[in-house]
Amino acid sequence: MTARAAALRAGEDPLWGSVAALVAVQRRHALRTLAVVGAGLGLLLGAFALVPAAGAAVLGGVPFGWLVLTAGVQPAWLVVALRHVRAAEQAERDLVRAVRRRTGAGGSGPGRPPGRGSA
Amino acid sequence: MTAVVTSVLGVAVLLLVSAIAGVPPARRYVTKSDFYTAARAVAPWWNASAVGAGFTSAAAFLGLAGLIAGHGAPLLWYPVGVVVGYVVLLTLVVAPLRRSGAYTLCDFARWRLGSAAAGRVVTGVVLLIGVVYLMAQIHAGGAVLNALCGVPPWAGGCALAVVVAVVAIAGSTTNVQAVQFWVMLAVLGVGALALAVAWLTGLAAPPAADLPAHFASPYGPGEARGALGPAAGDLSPPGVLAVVLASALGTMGLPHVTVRFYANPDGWSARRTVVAVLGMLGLFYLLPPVYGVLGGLYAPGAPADRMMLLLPLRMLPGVPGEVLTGLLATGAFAAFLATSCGVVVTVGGTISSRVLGGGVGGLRVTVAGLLAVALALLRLVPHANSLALVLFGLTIAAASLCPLLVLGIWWRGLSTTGAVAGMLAGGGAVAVLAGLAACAPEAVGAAGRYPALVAVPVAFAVMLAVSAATPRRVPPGEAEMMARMHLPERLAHHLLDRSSRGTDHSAD
Repeated sequence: MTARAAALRAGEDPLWGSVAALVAVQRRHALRTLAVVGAGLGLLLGAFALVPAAGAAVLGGVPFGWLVLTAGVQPAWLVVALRHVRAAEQAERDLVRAVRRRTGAGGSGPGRPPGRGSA
Repeated sequence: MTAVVTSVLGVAVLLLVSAIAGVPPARRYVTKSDFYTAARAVAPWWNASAVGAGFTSAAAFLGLAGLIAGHGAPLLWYPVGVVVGYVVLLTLVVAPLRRSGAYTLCDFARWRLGSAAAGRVVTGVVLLIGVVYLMAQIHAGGAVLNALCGVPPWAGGCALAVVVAVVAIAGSTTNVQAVQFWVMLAVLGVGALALAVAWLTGLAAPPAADLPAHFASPYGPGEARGALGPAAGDLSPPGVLAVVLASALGTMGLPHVTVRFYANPDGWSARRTVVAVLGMLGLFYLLPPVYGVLGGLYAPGAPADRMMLLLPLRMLPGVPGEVLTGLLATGAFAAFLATSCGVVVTVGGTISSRVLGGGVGGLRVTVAGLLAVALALLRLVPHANSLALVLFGLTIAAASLCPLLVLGIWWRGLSTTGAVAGMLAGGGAVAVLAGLAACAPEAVGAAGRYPALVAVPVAFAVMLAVSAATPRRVPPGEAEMMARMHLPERLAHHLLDRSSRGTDHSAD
C-alpha cells in the first residue's frame, strides 16, 4: 500500500475532503435525476390509476395510454440520462481542475478531453 | 415446411456471421478477462449493443409480445420499468462499479466488504438469478421450436441447451453479442414492418377478432394466477408497481449485464454505454406493441410464448407467412442465444473460479451443470410463462444485489455483517413469498402477489439497521475504496499511486 493510500485509510489525508465533496456532489446529482424519473413514473402510474379514462382516451386514432407508454416515456428517460451524464462529468472535471491547481497532480488533463461523446 | 427451411437458413447465417465476428484478432482467451469480454476498450455504442443483446432476451421479447396480445396496455409498463432500470444503473452504479476494477458482482463484494463469506453469498444469489434466467430462455426457445416443427418443448429445450453449451464454450465475445443484437433488431423490425404494412393495406386475411375493449386501459384485473413470479397475471396498480419496482432496481443486479461494463476502458465510457443502451432499448421496445396489437387481432388466445410465430401464418397464409415465421424464429433464436450464452459464461465463470479454481476446464463443467439444473427445474417448477420467470429473477436481484451495490457505492458505513444480513433477508423474503404464493396463496395474501413491494424495503432496512448496529464490522480502508470508486481514473491513479486499469481484483 502506498503512503497516500495508508493516510487515506487512516482518515488523515487532506484529499479525503475532496473525495467526500465529490461524492456529495455526485450523490446530489444522482438523487435529483432519480427524483425526476420517480416523479414522472409516479405521475404516470397515479394518473392512469386515478383517471382510467385518461388511458383509454383516443388521440389521433391511438389510445393515449399506448402513445405515452410506448413512444412518450423512452425519449424522456434518454434526455434525463444525457443531462445526468453531463452533470456528473462536469463535477469530475471541476474536481480534477481544483486538485491540479492545488497539488500539480492530475497529469496532463482529466480522464478524457471534454467533448460530445458518441453516446 | 417453408418456415422451417427459412429459419434453418437464417440460423445458419446468424451462426456464420457470429463466428466471423467472434474470431479474436490474435490470441484466444488467455486470462479470465479475455474470456469474459474478449476485447477491452471497445466503443461505447458497440458495447451497448452487446449489453442490449444480453438484456433483450428471447423470453422477454416473445413473452412480452404474447402477453400484450392477450392483455393489452398493462403489459406496456414492463418496458417502461426496464428502461428506468438502466437510468438507475447509470445514476447510481455504473461508473463507480467500473472504477472499482471488479468485474463480477462477487468480486465487487469481496473487494468492498473484504470478506470471502460475503462473496459466497453474492455467488449464491448470482447462481440463483442465472438459473432462473436460463429457465426463462430455454422455456421460450422450446416454445419456438415447438411452434415451428412440433418438437415437444422438453426435447427442444434439451437440444437448445446443447447449442448454448457449445457456443458458450467456444467463446462468448462482445462482438458476437453485439452482432446478434443488430441481427435481432433488423429481423424483428422487418417482420413488424411487413406485418403492419400487410394489415394496413388490406393484404392480410381479415382479423379473427376485434380488439377487446380492455385493450386500451393501462391497468387490468388484479387476479393472481398462481404464476411463479411477481404479479405475472396481476395487472392491477399494485401489481404493475411491483413489476416496475423489480425491473427498475433489479436490472443493476443482472450478472450478465454488469460484467459487460468491464469492456469499457473507464467510468466515463461506461456511463456513455448505458446512455446508448437507453437509446437502443427505446427503439427495440417499439416493436413488441406492434406484434402485440396484431396478435390481439389475429391470434387471440394463443399461448404467450408462441403467439409471435403463429401471427404471420394467420395473417398471410401460404409462403409469405411461412417465410416471415422462419425469419421471426431466427430473430428469436438470436435473442435466445445471445442472452443464454451471456448468462452461462458469466455465472459459470463466477462459480467455476470460486469453486473449481478457475480454468477453462472447470468452466466447461460448470456451464454444462448450469444448463442441466435449468432444464431439470423447468420440468419440476410450475411456471406460467417465460416473462414471469424473468420478473422473478429481477425481483431477487432487486431485493439482494441492489441494496448491496447502492449502499456499497454511496455509504461508508456499510458493514460486512449488515450487507450479508440484508441480502439474505431480501432474497429469503422473495423466496419464501414466492413459495407460499405457490403452495398456500391465502396464507400470504397480497404480499405473496407483490413480493418486490415487501422484499426490497426489507432488504434495505435490514442492511442499514444491522450496519448501524455493527460499526466494528465496517471493512477497513473504506475511505480509500470510496476514493477509488468516485474519482476519475487519471486522478485516482495520480493520487493513490496505482494504475486503476491494472487493478484486477479477479486474479486473486
